[in-house]
Amino acid sequence: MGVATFLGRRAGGRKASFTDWLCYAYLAVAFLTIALPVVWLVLSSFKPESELTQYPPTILPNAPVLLEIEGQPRPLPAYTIEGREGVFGLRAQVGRIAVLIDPHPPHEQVRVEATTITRLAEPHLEVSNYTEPLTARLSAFDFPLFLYNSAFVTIVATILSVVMNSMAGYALSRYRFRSRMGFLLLVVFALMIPQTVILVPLFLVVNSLALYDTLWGAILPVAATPVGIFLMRQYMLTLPEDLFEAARIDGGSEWQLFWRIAVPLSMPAIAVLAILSVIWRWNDFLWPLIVLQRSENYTLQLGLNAFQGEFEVQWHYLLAMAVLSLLPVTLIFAFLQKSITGGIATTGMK
Amino acid sequence: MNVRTGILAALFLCVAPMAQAQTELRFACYADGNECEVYRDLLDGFEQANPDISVLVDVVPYRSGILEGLPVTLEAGEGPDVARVTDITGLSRHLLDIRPYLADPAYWEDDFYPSALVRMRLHNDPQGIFGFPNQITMTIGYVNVTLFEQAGVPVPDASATWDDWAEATRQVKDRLDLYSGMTMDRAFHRAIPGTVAYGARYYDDADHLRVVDDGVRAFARRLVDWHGERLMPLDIWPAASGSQVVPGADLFENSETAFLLSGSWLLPRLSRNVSGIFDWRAVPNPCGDAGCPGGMAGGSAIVGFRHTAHPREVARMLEYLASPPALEAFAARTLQVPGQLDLLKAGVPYETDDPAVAQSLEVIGGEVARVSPVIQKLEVEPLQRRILDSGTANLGLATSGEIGVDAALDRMTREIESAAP
Amino acid sequence: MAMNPLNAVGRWTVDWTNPPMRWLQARVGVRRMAFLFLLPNFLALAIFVFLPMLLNGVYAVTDGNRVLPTERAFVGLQHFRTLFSCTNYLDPATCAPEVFFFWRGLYNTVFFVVIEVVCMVGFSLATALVLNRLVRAQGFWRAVFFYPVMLSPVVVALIWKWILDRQGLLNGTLDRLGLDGLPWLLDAHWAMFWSIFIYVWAHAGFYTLIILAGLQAIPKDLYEAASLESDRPFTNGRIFRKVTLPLLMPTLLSVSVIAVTKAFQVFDEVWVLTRGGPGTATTFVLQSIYETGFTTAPREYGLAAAMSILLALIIFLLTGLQLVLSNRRMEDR
Repeated sequence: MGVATFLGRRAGGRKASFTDWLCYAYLAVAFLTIALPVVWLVLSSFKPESELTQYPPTILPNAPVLLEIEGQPRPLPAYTIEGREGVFGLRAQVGRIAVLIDPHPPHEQVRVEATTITRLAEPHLEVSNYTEPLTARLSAFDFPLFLYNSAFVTIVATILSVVMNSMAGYALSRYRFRSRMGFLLLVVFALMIPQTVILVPLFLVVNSLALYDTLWGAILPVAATPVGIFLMRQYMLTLPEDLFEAARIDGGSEWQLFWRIAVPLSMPAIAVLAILSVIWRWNDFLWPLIVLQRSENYTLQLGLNAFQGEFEVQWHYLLAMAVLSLLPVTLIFAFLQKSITGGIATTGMK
Repeated sequence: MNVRTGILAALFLCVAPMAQAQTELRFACYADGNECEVYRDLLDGFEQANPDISVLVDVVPYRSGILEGLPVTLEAGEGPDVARVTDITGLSRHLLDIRPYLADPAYWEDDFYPSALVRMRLHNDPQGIFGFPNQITMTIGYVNVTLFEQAGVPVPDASATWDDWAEATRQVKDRLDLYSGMTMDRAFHRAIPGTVAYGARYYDDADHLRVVDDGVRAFARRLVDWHGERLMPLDIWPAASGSQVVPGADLFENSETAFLLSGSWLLPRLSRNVSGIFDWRAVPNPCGDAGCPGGMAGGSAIVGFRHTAHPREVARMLEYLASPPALEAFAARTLQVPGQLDLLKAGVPYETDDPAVAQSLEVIGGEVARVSPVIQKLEVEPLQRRILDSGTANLGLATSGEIGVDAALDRMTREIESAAP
Repeated sequence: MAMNPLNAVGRWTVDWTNPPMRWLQARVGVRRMAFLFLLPNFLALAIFVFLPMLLNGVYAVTDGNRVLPTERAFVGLQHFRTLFSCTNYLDPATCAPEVFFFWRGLYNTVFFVVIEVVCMVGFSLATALVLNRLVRAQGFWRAVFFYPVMLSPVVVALIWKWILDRQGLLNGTLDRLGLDGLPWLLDAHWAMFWSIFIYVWAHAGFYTLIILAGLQAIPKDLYEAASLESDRPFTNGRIFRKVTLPLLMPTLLSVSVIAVTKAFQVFDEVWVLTRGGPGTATTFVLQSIYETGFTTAPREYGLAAAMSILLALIIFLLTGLQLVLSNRRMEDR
């Protein structure tokens, strides 16, 4: 059986139609559009600094071949010259002229048109792009600390969200009281106010509570997610009432009912909420940008932003740290893809 | 109970040494090069001499940490005790008057480049002393000499006008097929000497601020035309929105421009990245139809903040950093122009063996000595920040071609008028 | 459920906190315990959402660069007058200088929203239809399309900045193919194009999922019924027009409205990518609010609050529209 017939085979043994082929083509193009940029980022993050400024850029990470030449303060990248034998070290290339040096004595200096030389490169993974920012402190950019801050904000905010949202969802789904509709409307109202339009007064509130420029200032204002209340309420509405009645008869308090019955039974919804919250908090940008000022309080996203906003951008570190910040989200996604996509499809929220 | 006692004991053990520890001062420092490392070294000496004080040097990014972040932080009643800042006027309300703690206030009043003190006193006690200028930066031109040589174009001399530079760099660009001929940092601060060179006066005869005149118009038109013909690159002035500063140093370092108008703070960076790759040197600010006004000074100052709980200690720290040996060491190691007048006159024994840096420092010294009266007045103008922001934003708009030069300058006039008291 | 350490800790916590809760329940009764469960979340909402909403109004009618409302001077509707000071609203240059970027940003945003939402819904619908046809590996493909949604806006912008740079991958590739590169982010039209492209790239997976869920909720027998009723040939195009599209309409409508409200708040990606440039080509309304309130000197909290209220009004109307539409959708069932 040929590959084409195999790929074209469909359920029920029907042969692939023109539309099917169109779909495959669509998927292939879309896959490349989505995957290439990310792959490109990852590959670039393993290039040495000098390689990042090479134009046109190479796809795979390379490193220039370096020549130690007597009398030169630093090793020079190796080049070949059109129409000449041997390898030369490039001392400078400015404008149209390249100045090269013969590695063999008497170290003759050669001036040629820049278009006639070709660089020698070899495959190389520059791991120090990762290890240096993580071990040594690079001026204002303390990435291990940013990593810790991001993790702290993400974990604490997620725990708070899950606890508060479950409690509120429980109250709004398992109890009938007169103001219930009012509370539900408040949740809708809160949903309709994007945080982006209350930045200024939120800044005042956070400042008055002495939370300004603390990690808690980045956590508390976003922990009470109204979306989460909805998610938990919708799920808890489906729990059978008999269970709760039986527990009440056995003498369980409302507090115990919540923790012993509602929470364990709602684990699927809680998992979705927790995952969503981790993604939200890990990627938060504008509010932390305003509330966190000291660089020791920066999250990863703020660190990356400040890093690329500096006058002298160290792209080799920046790209490596960007890849690092993708890692947790990608791992979570790889393992929990089903419940994330499932959860979003059912709630229609993100 | 056992657990709780244990925790309490542990807590106590942690807290106890701190209770008798020294006063800790927080110093928010930004760096263009090695400034914060040098301060760390200097402050080690200070801590040895003053065992009751320890200083935490917090290295922060310039834009997000100092320029945009610090004002909001101070407004919120928080922030460091001491900082290295550039927008002195904007922060003056928050500055700490250290005069009562100083042994020799006269030194602070008379021995430093004067504009910084004027600006610190602006919304403050006119007798107060709030800090000192630790570094003067001058607008200055940088030339890629190698490119000029390759193109066979002579480098214009010190009396050359902007038009001469445009013509020369145009030839270099065309002959070598360069990306751009000349580049200017995206900041109105860099453009002001050019406007004055073409006759801008900024103040009318009654000494009222009148920013937009024919001189500003003449230079603005040139800037826009130069961008139109791509003599100046699209990556700098047109690239961002609003009053954001975009430096042109990357283009210069990559030999993608033959002439760069930037600040003297760039020296150490060029020495590190460029020397040995191509020949470069600093040149005085270009002249214009209306003469040679020199450059415009800017720079940073070390100041204390009013909200600090330790004003006496802050004053001691500033006094240490402002002492002549510390100033000299700082300037020598960071390759920057000091803000202290005697030191300026006597010269600093710079720690470099790069001839390009030595030559450039000489040029910069000459520029500091010849700043024109108009620019001197602008250096202490209360509305300076508004003028600079507005100029950057509107010339940026004009160079991007979104609005015409006249519309941009009209907007600039209205913007500055609306800010005037 | 198996006993694991987490459960043990949870059990221990509940047992420990139960006596006071039981005491409270005895005092207030079972019903009112509901309020106890509501308390933490709604307290947080009150402090961090509702109170700021009210304070926004206070800021909008006061002036000065102080943060504390008590230190601010009452100026009435001055900020709104400034906001609506344009002699010609189609030309932001005629507005008061302080609000130039706001109006420019608003027009840019409206343009962005219209184009972006059409592209977003079109692309997501196409993708969902394709995914729905797939017999194998649907989960894998769903994950592929959703992956960019998980990435942080800063990283998304960095990735694309690195590609679209004057000497980036795209120009390098074009160069290799013998074509001339373009300064993608330095040209007003291209910068807008890439802003929209990147926004769609980063968020389409989310809308695809929702549309896919809508598609899969359409009962299979409807398709068969449609094919029986019709005596004309049964083509893919006809099924789509006659069956799929009408049934999917409610989903598409609510997806569009979510997309519109989200797109009005575009900031992160584009700000890191272009900083609003070139000129003001990609300055959006949220950037103008952020800059007015937090980065320009002097900081105009009052004006920024007035701008926020205007933006909130726009979003409020659009969300209201969403609710009306989704209500109608309920009634349709």
